[in-house]
Amino acid sequence: MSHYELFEYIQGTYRGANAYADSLSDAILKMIHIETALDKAVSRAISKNKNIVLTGNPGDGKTHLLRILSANIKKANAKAVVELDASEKLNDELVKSWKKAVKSKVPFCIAINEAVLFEIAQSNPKFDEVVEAQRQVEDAIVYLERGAKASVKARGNVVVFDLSRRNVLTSNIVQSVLSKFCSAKIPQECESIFEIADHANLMKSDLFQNRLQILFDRISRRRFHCTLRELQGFVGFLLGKGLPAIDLAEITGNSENFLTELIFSGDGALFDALREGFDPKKICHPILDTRIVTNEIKSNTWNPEEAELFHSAEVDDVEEIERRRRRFYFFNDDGIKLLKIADDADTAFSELLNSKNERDVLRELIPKINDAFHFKHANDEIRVWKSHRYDHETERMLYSTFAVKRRELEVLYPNLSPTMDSAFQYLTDHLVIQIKNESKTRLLIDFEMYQFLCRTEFGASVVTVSNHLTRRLWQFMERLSVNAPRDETELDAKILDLQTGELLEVVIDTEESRYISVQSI
Amino acid sequence: MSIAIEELREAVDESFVGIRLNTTKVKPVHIANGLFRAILSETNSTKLLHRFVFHQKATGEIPLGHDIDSVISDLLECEAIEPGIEPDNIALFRRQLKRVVSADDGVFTGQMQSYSAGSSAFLSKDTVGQDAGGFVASWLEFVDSPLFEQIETCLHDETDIVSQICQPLLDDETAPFEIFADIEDLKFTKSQLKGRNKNKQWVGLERAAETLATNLQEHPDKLFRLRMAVLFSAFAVLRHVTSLESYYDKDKKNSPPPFLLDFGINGDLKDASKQSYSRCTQSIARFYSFAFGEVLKKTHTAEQLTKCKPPRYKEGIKKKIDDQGDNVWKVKRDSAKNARNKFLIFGEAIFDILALQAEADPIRYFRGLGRRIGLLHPPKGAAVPWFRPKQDLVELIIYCCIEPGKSIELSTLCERMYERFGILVGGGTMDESVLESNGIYTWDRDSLNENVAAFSSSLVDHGFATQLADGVMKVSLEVLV
Repeated sequence: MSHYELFEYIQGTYRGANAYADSLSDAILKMIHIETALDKAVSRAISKNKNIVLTGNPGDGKTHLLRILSANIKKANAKAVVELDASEKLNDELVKSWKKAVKSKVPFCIAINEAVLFEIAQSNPKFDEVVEAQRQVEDAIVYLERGAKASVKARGNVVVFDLSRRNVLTSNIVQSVLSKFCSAKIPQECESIFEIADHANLMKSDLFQNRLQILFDRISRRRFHCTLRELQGFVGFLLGKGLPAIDLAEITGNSENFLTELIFSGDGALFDALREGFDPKKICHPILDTRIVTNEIKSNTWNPEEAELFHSAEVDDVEEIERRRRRFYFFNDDGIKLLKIADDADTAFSELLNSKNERDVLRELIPKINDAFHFKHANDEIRVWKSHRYDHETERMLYSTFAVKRRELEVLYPNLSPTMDSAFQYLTDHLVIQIKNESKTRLLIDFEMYQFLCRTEFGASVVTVSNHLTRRLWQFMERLSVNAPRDETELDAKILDLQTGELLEVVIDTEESRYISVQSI
Repeated sequence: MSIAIEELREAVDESFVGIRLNTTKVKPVHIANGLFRAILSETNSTKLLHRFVFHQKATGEIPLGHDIDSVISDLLECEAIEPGIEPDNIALFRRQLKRVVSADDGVFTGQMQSYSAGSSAFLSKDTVGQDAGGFVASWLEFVDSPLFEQIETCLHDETDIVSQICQPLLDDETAPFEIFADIEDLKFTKSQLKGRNKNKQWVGLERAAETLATNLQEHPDKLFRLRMAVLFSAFAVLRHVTSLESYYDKDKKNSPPPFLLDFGINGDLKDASKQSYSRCTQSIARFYSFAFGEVLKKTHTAEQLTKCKPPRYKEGIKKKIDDQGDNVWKVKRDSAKNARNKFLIFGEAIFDILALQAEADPIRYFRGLGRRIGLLHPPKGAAVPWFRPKQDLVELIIYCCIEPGKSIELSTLCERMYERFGILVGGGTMDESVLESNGIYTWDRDSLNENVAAFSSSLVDHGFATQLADGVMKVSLEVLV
């Protein structure tokens, strides 16, 4: 293999030229492969003669992994059947091949997109292995109390690894990709191109990697799923924008192409997520900005030294100031202050997810949920509201006959099924609250929902906003309403007029069919 | 011989349509009241409830017996209220309760009461826009739909919160009730709803109702179930009204105009969707022209019609509008002289005069109801609307197309949407040919693809779908968690 094959591969990653693992040479494959617990988990399953199903989205690394492990698989069982890419065959052929392997009691290992698995399961409801595989995909996530581990294991002879559940943006994978790509031997004609050689050096900085990881963690918590291919493309872009050397030579040195600019300027889902997540250029602070503009920053606070700024900027050069803020964030010890200034919902959400105290979590969420329904009278119980009309206009009246107390609720966190838990890391990006032991009453709190609930303080509500988040809240109310007390002799009803804010409490004797009291609150 | 258009219209609606499309004020709550009372074949006395909630007219005038003192006195007498409650609080309660039970703005003076509620005690003798609900009830019973029984069960259940809050004001004095037109007596029933060659559209609606009933069975909220059932009924009415031509016109037998739904952000499909709306209204106009002609055949000869005085919708029309109607009649009469199908032309004239002179015509009924259920956009104004459904309707479509616990691909969903509702979004294999055969040309493949993408994005956002690889979307009812 030539010294530069890896470099050529890297240059192709951004534009997707190297999109498919099955078109790569074994040498490249081995060079870019990052060994993780997943490799070991698959090997373990093979040693037990299990059927292995690697599923997920394109770019998650299914075929790549199967190719890397195929030698081990064959070593464990020479007769094992390995289907590197299900999309190359017709569904019927796949099913036939799988059934044959099952009949012959040899392991069947397949890399298959989730959609194809779904189709095969739908059209072969009596094929136990494929139905079990689909079940494991659907039941990959189990909700448990903090610290608990899922105990329900895979059934039958099939083990599924759904790579779409794997968080590729974990520090060990990110650092491994950075390490491999930045160590690639650079062709001579590229050595003088700043964006390649020097970026490779800059990216080795611990501080840079740490700051990048913070951004990756933020977007992961926003439920952004990155494929391995996208991560490689991202790093590839940082090392020369995916351009041939001759093209890059013409634009080299342009400040727009500096590393910290490229992080926010590429095309694709990962770049979009980073731009939405946190962009240091948007954070203003008079003291920090002054120091950034006048370059009154101590040299020894830059890491590495090469990233240091060398001169002051013009006060009205907004673009330059924004570039400097980005550079400051990634390469200066004090750069983290920009994130702290942001003090945004991401930070608060992260704290919520990491909170070890269920009571604190509920104490934060319950008032917000009540606020979303314009009800500020209770912090320790969720008032269950209803509204009813037959057209699609906005609700004006809310009414309620009961509330769910905090002690009746529990907070659960997503956990991977045991098989997948042993294979890869899953970043907690949401939690659910529900009535204890009643999974049908669940409300999912992800970043989007949390952000909305934070805005209820400023007037956002199920009435002023009509979208999938408010629909989720209304569904939650509907599910909670199943627990309405029945056969009570006295009914305590609250009626809230959302336009006037008037809240009325009406007590009804249901046996005598009489209004006992009517009071304005 | 003179022609009384209003009577002619009634005759057409009674024997051909099953619904009097004679109001622009029809609201989903009217559909609800009509549907529910037809299912139970009874109405209730809502006297005390009405007196309590309808505290004054829009002019500020307090109807007789509705003043607070009389109301409190009667409530005390029948022990529906404890003595000593502050009159101010009762006054506040009346206002608030009215907003609760008249959330759809369906409670007015006299008999005009359709309550935003969900049990039998609220069913009134309202006469505004009730036929549509009655028609759907008649159809559901005719096809023995599980949805009929489900609605019936809901109506007998008085544990919903609205019924509970109103309990002291409700009584159980019932009166029998009959709908405007029994579906068995309608002219299209035999050819479209019976036998081996049942109309595909009705078969689709039947399946939709069945799937909806199965899904609603699982739903914990009774009021939600009724809301969905009413929304479905309103949609079925709109579909029925735009399919009438296809029942009776042999050439159009199996192709009612599609509803092309626009989900796009850029409005690329807006014009095509407007055209789709126009095809629907043209179909309604053609049907009525045909139906009027058929009714006229029974009472007049063509010769008699040419000698007839220009008909009026009814007496007391303003002169200017009268003159317009007269002109229409004269023009059509002249063109009928040498025409083969004279009755069709006279039927067109009747319809045109009706549209000019009546307070409401079937096209405005269609538009009004379509807007009020969130199918047509914009919700108000004179602009030509197009099909841009609100969230509730998207939810209804999902409930009617996917069985509980099942997942289907987006392409399958699009096929079912057309099969069950005559809806297109651009993702079905037959969409392009259907659009072309209905003379809808202001689209291209890119705009259809973008529309499907926007539709699927909407499904994902609302938790109805997950995006799998290779562009496959898995749609199901419960993907939120």
